[in-house]
Amino acid sequence: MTDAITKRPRAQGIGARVLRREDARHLHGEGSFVEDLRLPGLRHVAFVRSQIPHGRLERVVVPPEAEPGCVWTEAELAPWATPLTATSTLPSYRTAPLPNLAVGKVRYVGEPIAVAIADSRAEAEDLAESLEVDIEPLPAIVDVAGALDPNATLLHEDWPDNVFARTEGDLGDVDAAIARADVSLTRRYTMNRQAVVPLETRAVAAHYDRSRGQLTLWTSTQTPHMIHDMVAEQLGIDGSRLRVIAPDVGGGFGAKCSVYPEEITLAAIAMHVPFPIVWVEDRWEAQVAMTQARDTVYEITAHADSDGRLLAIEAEIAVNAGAYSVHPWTAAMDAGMGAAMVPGPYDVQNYRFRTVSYASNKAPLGPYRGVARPGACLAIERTMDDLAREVGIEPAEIRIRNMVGPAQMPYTSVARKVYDSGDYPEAVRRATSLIDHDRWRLEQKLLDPASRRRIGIGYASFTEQTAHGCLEWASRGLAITIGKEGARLLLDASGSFTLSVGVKSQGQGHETSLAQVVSEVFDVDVSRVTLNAGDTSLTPRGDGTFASRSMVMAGGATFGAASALADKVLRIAGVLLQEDPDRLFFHQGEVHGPGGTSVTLAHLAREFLFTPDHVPGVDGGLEETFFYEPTQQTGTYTYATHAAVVEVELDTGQVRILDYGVVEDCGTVVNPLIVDGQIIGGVAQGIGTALLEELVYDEDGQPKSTSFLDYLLPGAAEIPEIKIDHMATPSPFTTFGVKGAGESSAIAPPAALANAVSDALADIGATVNETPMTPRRVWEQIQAAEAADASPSEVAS
Amino acid sequence: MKPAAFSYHRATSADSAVALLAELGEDAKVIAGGQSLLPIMNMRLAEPAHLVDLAGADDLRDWQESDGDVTLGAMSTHGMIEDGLVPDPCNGLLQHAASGIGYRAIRNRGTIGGSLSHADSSAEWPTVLSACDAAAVIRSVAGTREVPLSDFFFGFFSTALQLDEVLVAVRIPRFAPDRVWGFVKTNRKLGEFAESLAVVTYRRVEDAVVSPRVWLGAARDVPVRLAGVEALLSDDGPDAPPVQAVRDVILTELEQDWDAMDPGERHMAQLHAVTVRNAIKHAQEVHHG
Repeated sequence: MTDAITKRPRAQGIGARVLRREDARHLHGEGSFVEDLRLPGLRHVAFVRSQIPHGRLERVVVPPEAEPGCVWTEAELAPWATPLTATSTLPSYRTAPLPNLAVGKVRYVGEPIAVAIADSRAEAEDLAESLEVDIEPLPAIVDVAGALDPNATLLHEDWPDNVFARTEGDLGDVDAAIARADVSLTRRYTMNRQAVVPLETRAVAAHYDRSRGQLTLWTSTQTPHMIHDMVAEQLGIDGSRLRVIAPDVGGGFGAKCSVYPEEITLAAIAMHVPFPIVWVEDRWEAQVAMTQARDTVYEITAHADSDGRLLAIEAEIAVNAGAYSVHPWTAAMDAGMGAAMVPGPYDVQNYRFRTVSYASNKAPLGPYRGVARPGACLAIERTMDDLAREVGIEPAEIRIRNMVGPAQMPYTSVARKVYDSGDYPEAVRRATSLIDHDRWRLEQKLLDPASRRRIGIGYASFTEQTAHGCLEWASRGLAITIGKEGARLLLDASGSFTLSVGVKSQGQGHETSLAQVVSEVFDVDVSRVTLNAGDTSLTPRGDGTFASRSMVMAGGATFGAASALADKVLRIAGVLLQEDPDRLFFHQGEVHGPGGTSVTLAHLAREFLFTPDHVPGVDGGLEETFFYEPTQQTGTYTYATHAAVVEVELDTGQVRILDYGVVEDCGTVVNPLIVDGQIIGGVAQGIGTALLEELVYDEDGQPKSTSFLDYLLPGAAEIPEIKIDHMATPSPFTTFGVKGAGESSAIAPPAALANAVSDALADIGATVNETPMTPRRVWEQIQAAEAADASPSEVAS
Repeated sequence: MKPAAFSYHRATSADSAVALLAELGEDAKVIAGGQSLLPIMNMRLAEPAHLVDLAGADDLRDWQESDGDVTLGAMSTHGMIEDGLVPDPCNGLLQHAASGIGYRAIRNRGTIGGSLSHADSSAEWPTVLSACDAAAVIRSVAGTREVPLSDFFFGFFSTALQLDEVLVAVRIPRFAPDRVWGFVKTNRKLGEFAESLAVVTYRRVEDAVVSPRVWLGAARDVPVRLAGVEALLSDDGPDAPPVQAVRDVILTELEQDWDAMDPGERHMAQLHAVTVRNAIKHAQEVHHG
């Protein structure tokens, strides 16, 4: 059968530059999002949300003239829905339920307190405003010092402190390594809190069909089956009575793959009111109540010899996980990931770490493109650069000296991750030529030291785990072990294919890329493959799209289903063409025999489905379902080196990007156009992390960055032309050798840019170790360094 | 983020607009392009009972020219000014300033009258038109009056306009042919509000600076005239002084004490100094160009 697949090159198969089919409707404004839903009698929901970061919810007074069934608090909701408690198998982990609607206390600005329903959103907001909410304020916890203070107010009063979890590890022989080190550097890195900001905010609609006892829940989610399972569980209803539909989803980036209280709440209410309801999140809500990201402090000590060879690393990581833990990731996710990623792509086997995930009066932390890896990358990559400077070698060189080499693959890291394939040092080498390293070093030399501009070059390398299996998730302590994915492929009497999958695109282009997998098997135009995704009644069970897993998992499942179906189609063709099926092959929508005979897929399918008696010896049906799991449970490792060139204005601290290059390896590339788009989008978000985006809170814990007036996102003018080079080393473990590509390019930009800025300011003696590197932060470092220079007796900060 | 209920009234002319305002009383607000007012209403930071929409008042989108000045109707959009669809009496300064206001979509609807009435000192028109010695033309049912912009702004979102008055036009004196200008807006991101905004104009008479105007926006609640920097230019000529010198003059002008400022405040003062210095340099480039 492999012959039939690999014999002829496929015009629209693996590797083809196929324009995305989904783009046409989106570019014409003809997408179909939850907000576009039109149902008879649909009414609108506005949430009453806490305006106070921490307090006792004393009472909610509903005006007596409010229409019955149109105002819901926890008291009304409790009989119909239980709050979800995220659990973990980590020994130190503390649980607390995530309320559907607040009861007893409120713990972050934006926490839902009540639901108001009316004919329009504006009227629902009027109704929401008319509720009287009494909250007795409590001191707000905003940072690690506040959270861990022995006299701190407790967020969860049945806990001994404000800590979700602590972890630690002592691997290899760190003390022996320290004893032989020539150089030891300690540095502290802060990556401030970010919002996730998908273009489409969250939206949930619910309709209960009383005649059939069926609840339909529309939600803008990355994980429809997970929402289905958990909503059914929290409502205590049979899963067969619930259908979850994710229509077009306008971006997710990790903020739409947790189970949200709004989903549970609307589903429950819909079963007890005689009309469908919809909630479309506004941007203020999204800025305060959608899961948030980053908010980490890493303290790294690197021990090396005089050649810059790493001997040991020590890391202390503090993660501000917000007020609650979300299912399924838990508040301990960032810390666990961060600790595992600090060793990076380097050959170092002595590592000691401690992490604390603490609670604060901010929105819960959740996944965001890269999940902790940007923070870990910033920490280790800035340290590598400082180490390089200390021992007097180029930053590219110190990476090449320390990286796991191709001959060492597969390599088990000190954190027990199996790096499966690739040439990490080669990516570094290519990155230096991609941005013409020597040219910029020359430009630096030619700059007059009296000039108020500086130029800097920065590199950042990483390797990341993608598409890992059940055992890996289990090792992280998650309550669910995510590791299988389903696909069903059906060929109909018109000769077209319907592919149903458990993943859900929020912009990844699955309608095109998964169709390319089908095309690789059958050699058909992708336009003949229709994708079903997002509707739990139409698709096989899957976990969803996150963790850069879809191409490996859903691609693998699609290939499995397509291969099984292709087998059957060839057997049918063998009967119709009177040929040995082993001698048949697919070509341009037909099955061909060795002697020149052929039959179109349409004719074959019609014949078989309409008159199956014409094809004796073949079981009925032209559809196959396949569940895929990776052979390597620890995943497949995508890696890259990013290179950044910046100009820093000394008088203002303004940073301008002069050049940016990415040398990346995500294994076999299914669609270069889509992967390039992912790289560019990831770098753009990384630039946002590095230079612009920050959720700011005042000293009372009030969020200040609640609109785009204050929260700055990178736009087209902030993103330079990005040079991209692909290494495309196939993974030994996956179908077609693909690896994950969705998140990787968001990981390195903060580190690459911080290294470039620090390189630019090296002659002044300033570095920057906090993101975003706003002009104010950069300028303050310059001021402090210039002051120290001018009067060495005064110690700079 | 939906507004509270309001009644909508559409004016057909300047006269009908002031008549509506007189009739509707104090809980009425005028809406021009809506680029500032609508977000404020959507966030329910303002809940006017009545909106008087000027979109249908064609006479407010007109302009008049004389030998001495150009009078632009209040409903002239930033886009009309950017595109040169109305006369620019300031040797290109107005066209240049207009092109940096927000994004093109905003410029299609935002108006010069709306910007002045809204009185955000981080916006372009309050500072630029103050530097141009412009005057606001204000009408009510009682008649028309003029207020020089230097007397028009009282504080954030607070102007000389009474509740029953509409700003109907802005009268801008013509620049002499030898008046040059520099305009620099400092912002974190293209299209955003200014963190600092500086306008420098003067008559360039050989190597001397005559009749300078230096105005700074986004530093205080109203645009600020920097007489100290004007004096520097008059005394020392058109070359840009070092940033530190400009900063010292600005600190004196704004009555700020560097040693008492926290790092954030110092950075803001620094940005203002750099912006003003760069506007002085820009004026020289405009002269040479």
